[in-house]
Amino acid sequence: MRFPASLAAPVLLLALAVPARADFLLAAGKETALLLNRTPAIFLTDPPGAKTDLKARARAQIEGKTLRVTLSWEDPTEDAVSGSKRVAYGSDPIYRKPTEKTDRFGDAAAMMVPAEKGVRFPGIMMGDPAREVRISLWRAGAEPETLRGRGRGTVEKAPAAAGFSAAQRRSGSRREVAFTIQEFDPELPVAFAIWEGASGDRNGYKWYSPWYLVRP
Amino acid sequence: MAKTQYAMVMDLNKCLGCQTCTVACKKLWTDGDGMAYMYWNNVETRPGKGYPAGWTSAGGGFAGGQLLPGEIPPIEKYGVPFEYDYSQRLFEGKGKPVMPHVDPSFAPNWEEDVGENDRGENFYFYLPRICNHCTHPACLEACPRKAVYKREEDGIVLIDQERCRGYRQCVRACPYKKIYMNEVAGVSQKCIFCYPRLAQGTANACAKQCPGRLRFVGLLGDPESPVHRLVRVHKVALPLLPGKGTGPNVYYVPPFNPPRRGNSGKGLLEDPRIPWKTLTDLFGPKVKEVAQRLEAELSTAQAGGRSEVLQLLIGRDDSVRYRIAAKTPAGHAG
Repeated sequence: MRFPASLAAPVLLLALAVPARADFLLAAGKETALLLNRTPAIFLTDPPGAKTDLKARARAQIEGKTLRVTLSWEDPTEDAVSGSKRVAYGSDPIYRKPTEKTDRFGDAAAMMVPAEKGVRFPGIMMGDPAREVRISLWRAGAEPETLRGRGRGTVEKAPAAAGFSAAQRRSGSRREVAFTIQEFDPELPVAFAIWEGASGDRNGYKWYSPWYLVRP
Repeated sequence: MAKTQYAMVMDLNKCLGCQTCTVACKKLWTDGDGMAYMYWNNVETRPGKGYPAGWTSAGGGFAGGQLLPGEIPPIEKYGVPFEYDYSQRLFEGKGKPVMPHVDPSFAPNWEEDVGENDRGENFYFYLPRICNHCTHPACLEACPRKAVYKREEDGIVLIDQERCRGYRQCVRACPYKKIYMNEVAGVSQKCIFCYPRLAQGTANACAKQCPGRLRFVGLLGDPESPVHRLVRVHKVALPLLPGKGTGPNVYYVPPFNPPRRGNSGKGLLEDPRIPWKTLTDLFGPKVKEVAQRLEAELSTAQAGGRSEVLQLLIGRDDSVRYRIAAKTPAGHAG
């Protein structure tokens, strides 16, 4: 059956009017296996990326207005780009640490939240021009950062965003990154991204989840 | 496209391979942490692997107008930078010779003067290289964060160190492999065409320090500039790997190609010592036309005539070699 052209405009308006909601839930205090997607290669010559699907879990805890989410996944390799500036070589204090690798990429993980409540959630790729997101980023070998974005290529440091923190620890071959947000609004969803340095992940090459709503 | 474009011409016939330009650049710009392997300016012997090794076949540039990313050279292609434990060896009485901390297998200038042998005759020439500050920079096109930008006022291509996140798409895209990752800073870095010096009316450090006086600097569209005259008027300078489609703004006067030894009576173009393929691979098919022009200029001068091209290429002083747009403030010298 052909879709009547006269219905196109009303259907579009209806679609815009209905708030987009996250269909995925993170129940507080419970391990949840995350649904993860893989961004496609951007260039024809890009490497195929990760050989196996990444399986990650998230555990949310709510204490008062504080949200703490521990993201964990199997990561047997330790990949970091930034190293210490100087490492003593022998006893020579002037020794300058040489570059170890030029083609190495670091492990990283991020949790993203909308900057503010809205009828629709922001675009999953770092927000969109109308809806800003805040991103708490942990990168191996670097200080955690809080970023903001309004779509791909717009992400920048958000020095004014307070109350975000990230910390990482190892549990055998499993990596755990704990994200904390003070003054968390439970109506806001959260989304996650994981970069596997050993697979050449960086930028848009990553595993990413859809928006999840946290439920106490 | 930038409104105006700074360009550099390098006369390969005058390059001594002394690396003074390399050291000038190194001391000025890449003496910091994470920069040991970076040579924003390097001089390599051709034929040879170059720096990084095999860069001419590492991909990048454009094909049919589409970006063609290449490889990110691993550190082994730059050569693992080595250090010496001076204090232990020299001052603590261990009695051992000072040795590199790794067993070097490649390094910048590793193949100096090796060249190749064609029918019993060795040949080589030096190729100094900096970022080409391309008209259509593949690095700029490839950067997902738009951290790479081309200045409207002078065409210099720079990387915003605040926006860069070290993704290295620019490294992959650059067909000249002239962008380097700083592992310590976590960002990519490259030649800045000495823009702070140009702002003070002083030529680039590599050009200013060159004992061979082979570098010419100016705005390509300025009819009075030496680069305009060599590139646009006399057409004796060519870009490197023009087929990569990026529109490089560093040009080379190709080496005068002497005839083979024992070649009685034959001209430069008839039986050259450097095989044409070596030159066309680097500078494209127009290199033969340029060689003909240069030979004609040489003949004019040898016959007692005046060749503006040769007079220009002699580059007697700074006023001939450089035409910098900005005025030099009092008290600021190179």
